[in-house]
Amino acid sequence: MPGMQSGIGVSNALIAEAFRSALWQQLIIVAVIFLVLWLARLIAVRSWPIKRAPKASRPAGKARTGRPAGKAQTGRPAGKAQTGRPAGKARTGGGAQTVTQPEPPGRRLLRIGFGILWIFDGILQAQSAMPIGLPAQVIEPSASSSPAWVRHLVNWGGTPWTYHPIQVAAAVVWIQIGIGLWLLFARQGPWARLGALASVGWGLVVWVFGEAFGGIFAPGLTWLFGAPGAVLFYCAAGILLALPEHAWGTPRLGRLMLAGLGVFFVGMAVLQAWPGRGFWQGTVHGHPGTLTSMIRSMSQTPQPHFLARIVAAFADFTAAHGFAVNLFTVIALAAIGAAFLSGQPRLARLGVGAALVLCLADWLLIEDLGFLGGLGTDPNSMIPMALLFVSGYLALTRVPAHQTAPAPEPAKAKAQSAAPQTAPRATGPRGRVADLLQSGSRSLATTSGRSLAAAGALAVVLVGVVPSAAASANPNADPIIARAIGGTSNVVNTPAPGFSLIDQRGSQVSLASLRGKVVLLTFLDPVCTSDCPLIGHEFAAAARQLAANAGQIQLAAVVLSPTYRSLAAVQAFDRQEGLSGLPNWLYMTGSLAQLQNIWRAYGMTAQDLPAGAMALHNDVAYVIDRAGYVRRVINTDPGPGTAASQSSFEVELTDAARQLLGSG
Amino acid sequence: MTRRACAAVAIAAALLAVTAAGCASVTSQARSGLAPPPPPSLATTLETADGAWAVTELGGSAARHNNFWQLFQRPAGSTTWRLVTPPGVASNGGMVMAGLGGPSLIVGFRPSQLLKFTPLATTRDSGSTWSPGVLPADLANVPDALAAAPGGGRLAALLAGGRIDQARPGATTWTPLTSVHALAAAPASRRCSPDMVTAVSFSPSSDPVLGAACTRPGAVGIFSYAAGAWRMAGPVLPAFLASRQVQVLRLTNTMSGEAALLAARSGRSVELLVARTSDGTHWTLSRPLNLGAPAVRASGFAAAGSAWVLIDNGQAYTISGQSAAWRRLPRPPAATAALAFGPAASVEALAARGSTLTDWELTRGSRAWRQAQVLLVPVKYGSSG
Repeated sequence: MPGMQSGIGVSNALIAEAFRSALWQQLIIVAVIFLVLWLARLIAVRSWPIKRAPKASRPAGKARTGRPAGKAQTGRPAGKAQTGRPAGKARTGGGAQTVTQPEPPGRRLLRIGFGILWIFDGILQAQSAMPIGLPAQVIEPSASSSPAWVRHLVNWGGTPWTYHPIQVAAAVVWIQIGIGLWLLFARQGPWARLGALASVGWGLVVWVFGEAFGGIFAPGLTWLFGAPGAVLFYCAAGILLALPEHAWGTPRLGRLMLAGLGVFFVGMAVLQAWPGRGFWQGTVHGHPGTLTSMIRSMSQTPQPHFLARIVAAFADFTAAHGFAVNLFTVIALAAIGAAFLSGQPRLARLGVGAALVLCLADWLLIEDLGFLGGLGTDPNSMIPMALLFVSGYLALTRVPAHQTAPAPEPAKAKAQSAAPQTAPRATGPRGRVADLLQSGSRSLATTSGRSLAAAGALAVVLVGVVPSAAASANPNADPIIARAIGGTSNVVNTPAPGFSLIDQRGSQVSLASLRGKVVLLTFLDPVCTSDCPLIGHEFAAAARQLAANAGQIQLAAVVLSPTYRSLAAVQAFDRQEGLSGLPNWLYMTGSLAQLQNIWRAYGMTAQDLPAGAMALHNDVAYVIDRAGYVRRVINTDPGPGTAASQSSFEVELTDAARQLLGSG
Repeated sequence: MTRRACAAVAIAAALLAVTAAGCASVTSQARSGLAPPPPPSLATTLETADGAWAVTELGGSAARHNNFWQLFQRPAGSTTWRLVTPPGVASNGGMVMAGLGGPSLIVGFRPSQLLKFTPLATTRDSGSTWSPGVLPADLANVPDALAAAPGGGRLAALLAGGRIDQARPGATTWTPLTSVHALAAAPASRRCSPDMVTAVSFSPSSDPVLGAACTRPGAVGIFSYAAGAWRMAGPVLPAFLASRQVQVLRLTNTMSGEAALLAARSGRSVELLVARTSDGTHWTLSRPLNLGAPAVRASGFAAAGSAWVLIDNGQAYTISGQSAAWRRLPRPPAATAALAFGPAASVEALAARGSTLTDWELTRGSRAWRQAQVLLVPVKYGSSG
């Protein structure tokens, strides 16, 4: 099972620069999209002036706590809507229609809160270490203690990332920023629900492939560290936001939300209290207990010193008083859960207050804010959870009053709609195009600014999705990985030093006899245990990629071992790497003197070392054109030789050969 | 929400948490029954008329490919060991050696990492110079995976998949001789029913001889090949061992014939025996050495048929060529990887730690080990990474 490592350091300068460059380019595209949308609407509005619909009247009294309209509340002037805005100003996405009710405060909190969270998470994804660091240092470790099937699934999903680190990492930035903007811009209506569903969909992708199902299949599951996965709360919020508006019109939804959260809190309390899971002991036989170890590891994350001190101090406190910390946590979770389950607004308010304090303390002292260290992807679970239960409380206690639009006069009914004057219709294809432009312009003029902005947000998501999908469809890794490991290849134009050696079949072969073909030449130690088998594998893969041009390409290697240079060794290597059956493969050897001359001519070194070490040698490939000139020198040091880096080197070799083939 | 509903929900939450705890907890059931015993280490010594050879592991972590197997040689009459590891190949996977007679030796480098075949090296001058060779397969992980017929003619190799290959002098072309499956199917092996070949050797008449692990109790899996057929050629066990399953741990040629180290198991109990023959037919058995549960960590034979064993619990035993009784040695120094028989009935303990080989000597009649030599080995850490 290939790992998710690419073998490159997380702070590789080439990758970081390429990532930055891709983000800047895409940012310009995003800016252009919004600019075009804004200009188009501006032009459309000026071309098609719209008659605005009259403001809706407000009923007497207001339903602040979900009580039916008509029950006046003391101390408040009649007619003031809960949202503080005059009723009727809110517009849906479908046009200048009158709104029957303002956005419920609970819903608004969820929408704006999670919109901001998605944008924040997207910005975090733009950290320079993400392309290489996220799969290797975040995703793979988070799946490491899960069952094998979870690891396989996470690996499979993470392979496009390791193969195309720039495109996929940039995609995640724009997808998350786009979803965030979408939630912020699209307040109600179909656009808003679509945005909410996008949030659910993407959240599930992140939960499965990025959080390994939130670690629910791994040992050590605890609410304190974000179980069952922060992004699951994003999904829950998305589902709630996708509900029809009328679902928010009664306290029932709030009651259900709090009940669900109550079940969750009680369940987490039971889990935390479960014996044998290591949470009751701060230390075990002198070693840090489960919770203490987790907190200590968070304190060692790169972060401001004062924060690290606070977290480390709490780790020490937990080590000394683990039982008390766990007992407090269990009681607090159970009490909050019970308060939420009660359905009583007063108890729920107490529960919300307690939960906010608990979440804040956990977020600071245990989760360590969640997003520090250079590879933090989100502020962990406490903030999203807090948004949910506060929203649930608001949904329970603050339902907006119903408002109705005035009945339009029959004669003015058509004038109520955004019906600008229609120009005379033209005929023919040009006329149809003109009609289309006209109706498009009319639509733009009548569409609310928010809807257009939401459409722009969708376009931002697509700015991320489309290039990433195109890259992921390519089964070969990005050659930038190879360049990040071995450096950029040197472009030269010098005559390739000649040689005459024996190939793996015992036949005499000279470089001159290969004129007319593009030659990919490398040097391999047949008994090497690491680099050379990888390079041989890459050459074999490049040969398969270039199969259509097999007659014009020659892949060749010269033995690079002072001791093991027999035909038997060469043939054993060929069998090992699957090179024996390739028609355009040569693995050549000769006497030690012949080989040493060739090594010298090509700048290769090969030296036997004592005490059981393999021969010391460098790794280089030469791309020789049909006239016998070296045109590129590629450092083929494969590094750790992961699946991604091997594929990337293979692409680099193939591209180099194809370039020379194309240039004649 | 009614009280009943609250209670129901709370119970549901508790059940959910229990389920989650069950999913998340990692439990492993202890397996009943015994795991197969691990093979003895590749660390061993070989004594010839021209001196002694020793294979030990030095360096660091095998997981990080920082362990390097080394070959040492001590000329006859000398008390000093020298490093003679053949150059040009990484030795992280282990080394197996076989005497070719006189100062000659052949060594096989077990493959490691991405190397899948076995480079060979042959010396004719006690390790001063080496000639390369190739066995295009993966050598088995046992100290007797390589054997040479008396006189250094034919070679036999036990491969990792249970196949046995042979080669003519020069070791350029290897051909299959047999396999564990073919051997198990042979009529001669019915009494033993072998499931694993554990050693390869040659008889004094240069017939290939195989050692195996028998699944049927009471039989010793030593097979010799002659006239195109395999025949069971091992000793007959005494009655008190008739109920035990026997595994051949070592099989070798000595100056006086063949010798084998046998492990007879019953449950967790192991009895070690040395079997010797001068004609391939009549065997003598030593007294059994009752080990209880521990396994043999390393073992070796001397040219005269003496044997030594190092046990997992740190104990060491020897048995001389003519004796039937085991002798327990004073506990060897820490990190002892192999023993060797020195001059004047002395015993040497080769302790390998990091880059240092320390030779400890136990002279005849002495109860304490004396440091005789410290050899610093220039291990190239990180060279195989």
